[in-house]
Amino acid sequence: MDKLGYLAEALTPINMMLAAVGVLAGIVIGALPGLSATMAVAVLVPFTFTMDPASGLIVLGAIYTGAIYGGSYSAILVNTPGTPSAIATTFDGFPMAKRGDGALAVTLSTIASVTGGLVGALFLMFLAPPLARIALAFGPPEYFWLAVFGLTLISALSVGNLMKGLIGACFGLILSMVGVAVIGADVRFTMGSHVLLGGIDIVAGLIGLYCIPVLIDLIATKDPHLRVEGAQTGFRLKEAFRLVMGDKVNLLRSSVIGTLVGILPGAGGSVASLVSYSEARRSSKTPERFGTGHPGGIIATESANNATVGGGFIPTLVLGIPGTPPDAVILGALLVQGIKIGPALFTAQSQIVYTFIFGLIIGTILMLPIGLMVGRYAYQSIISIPKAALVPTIAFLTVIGSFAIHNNLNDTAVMIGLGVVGWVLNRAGYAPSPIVLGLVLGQIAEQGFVQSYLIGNAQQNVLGMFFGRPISLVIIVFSALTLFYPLIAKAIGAARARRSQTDIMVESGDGRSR
Amino acid sequence: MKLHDPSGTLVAVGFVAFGALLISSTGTMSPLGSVFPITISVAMIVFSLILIARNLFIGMRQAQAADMPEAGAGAEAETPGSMARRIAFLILIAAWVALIPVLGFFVASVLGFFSIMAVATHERLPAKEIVVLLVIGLAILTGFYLLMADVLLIPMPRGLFF
Repeated sequence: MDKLGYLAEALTPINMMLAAVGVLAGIVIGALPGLSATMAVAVLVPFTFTMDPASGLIVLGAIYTGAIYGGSYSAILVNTPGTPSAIATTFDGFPMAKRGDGALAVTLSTIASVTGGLVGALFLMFLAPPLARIALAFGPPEYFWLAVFGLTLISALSVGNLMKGLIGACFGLILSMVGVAVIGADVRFTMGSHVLLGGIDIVAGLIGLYCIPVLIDLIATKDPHLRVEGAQTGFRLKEAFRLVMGDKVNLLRSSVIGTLVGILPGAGGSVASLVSYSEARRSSKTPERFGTGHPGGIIATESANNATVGGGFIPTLVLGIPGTPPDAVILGALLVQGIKIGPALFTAQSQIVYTFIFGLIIGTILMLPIGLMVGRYAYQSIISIPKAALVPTIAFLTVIGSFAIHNNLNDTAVMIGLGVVGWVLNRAGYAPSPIVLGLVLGQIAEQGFVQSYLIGNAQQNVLGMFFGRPISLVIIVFSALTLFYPLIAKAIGAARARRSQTDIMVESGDGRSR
Repeated sequence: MKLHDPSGTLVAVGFVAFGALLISSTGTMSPLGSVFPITISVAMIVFSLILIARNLFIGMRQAQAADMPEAGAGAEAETPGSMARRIAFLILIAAWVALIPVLGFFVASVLGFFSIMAVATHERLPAKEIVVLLVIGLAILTGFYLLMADVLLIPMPRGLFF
């Protein structure tokens, strides 16, 4: 009953307005490649200090959830993820936009994001204390295997040429090692230059590898960026709802995966969306359609990355360990507001916590109308803006976005350099996605691997460290399933075909069986 | 003998050399710092060698059955469009970034933006449309510059100008 009182408190007109403004600001910042959710939250934290604690937190939650969702616009419309969480959204979002279904893709992403956000927030409200224990159960080996699980997606992404996908992933992993090593502090592969000492920034890499090749090919031809003839504009809400309802298992599974991955500190939206994409593809009846503009791909990634928002708050509020980088900023804001983080928070200061969670839910629901409006506007401006203006605008956004990550032009130079490398490799048949996957997961994988090795070595049980822990084993089984699923599915299909053949012979059946 | 997927194979050869170079540069690293780079470099070399061997094998088979239609390697398909514009774009965007510390962010961006716009324009435009494009461009540049500099308070690089 108490909770309803908190809901009433969150539902004041001023809080609703703040949530709406926060979501809108978040969407715009998230949609611009290079401006991340962390930055959006960090920049706007000082403004919230003048508000009362609950309103301030509602704004921050709304900005955060809006920014994660906003990243999907640029992923779908320009093939460049606005935030790293939207990497996997490019796989199916851009092909959909290219064939004239951009409006549908944006609406799908909106519905999926809202659902994912709600699932994450509900988990946060009802199951936060028990779920926070999961975060503590994850040690270095589990992180290592989680990264490996993400990498198994390569088998899904490199349709046609697995070897090129694997080579690309290795190249991406090597890129992630540039700079000072996470463990051991060796300076690696910087070519003697201080510019690369800090490593290759993931966001700069993303913008370069995805966006520059698109621009290079865009500038060379007269054809419009996205196909306009036959493109249906409008919200296409009915169609999107029908697609989502037809894929609700995927939607719910991805939202739960997103929440659980969000709970793990350091994993974040990119890992969550990759893992759920991989799962969606594995369990789909038509896995071959993933990567060619399949709505299921967008549903999986967008519900998962928004679910990490609620999931990430679980360890933040219960344990004081931020689940994702924006959570760390919000944690700071909470401390400034005089809120004591920890297991007692949900009882001692329940008023603020529940008002905040309700605020998060309100912000997420507001995302539906606001997102649809902004999305429609974004899609229409992308298809109606002449190419002569579109190319320099995107180029400008890549420059300003890669600069804004650390206010450093070196990141911009790295972005352009990687863009050229990515374009050359793409021409030779090496797709950018495995490279990006390696770059994103490299550090998590290496840190997990070396730490596990060190602990295992100290306990004189290296193999046990990697293969003897229950959670690790579950992740290993899933990785193996994902990697070999095509083969397994083929074998099962062949067995089924044989059986039905026998049935036909035995029953001289009606030939309906394939 | 016609090589199957020549560009893909050539890049794979490059990756083998790159991997060898990386392994040779791990000598100065601590054992913990070098274990991951060596493992991944070796994996990259092995995958590249498999790819090269596979492409050579397919090439040989195709040479034997010369009348067989070539299985599409896919990667070779010549991408349509003007290579000169592609190269011009790369030079311009690189020059844009190089000029930012010299001229300042806004001025360098104005130059970069409109020169890329010129390369992206494929037909002669009427004067009215050019004016519209110039206005749109200046509005986008100014809007974003003010957003970054005055709202998000990002210190924008200044050179001779701003």
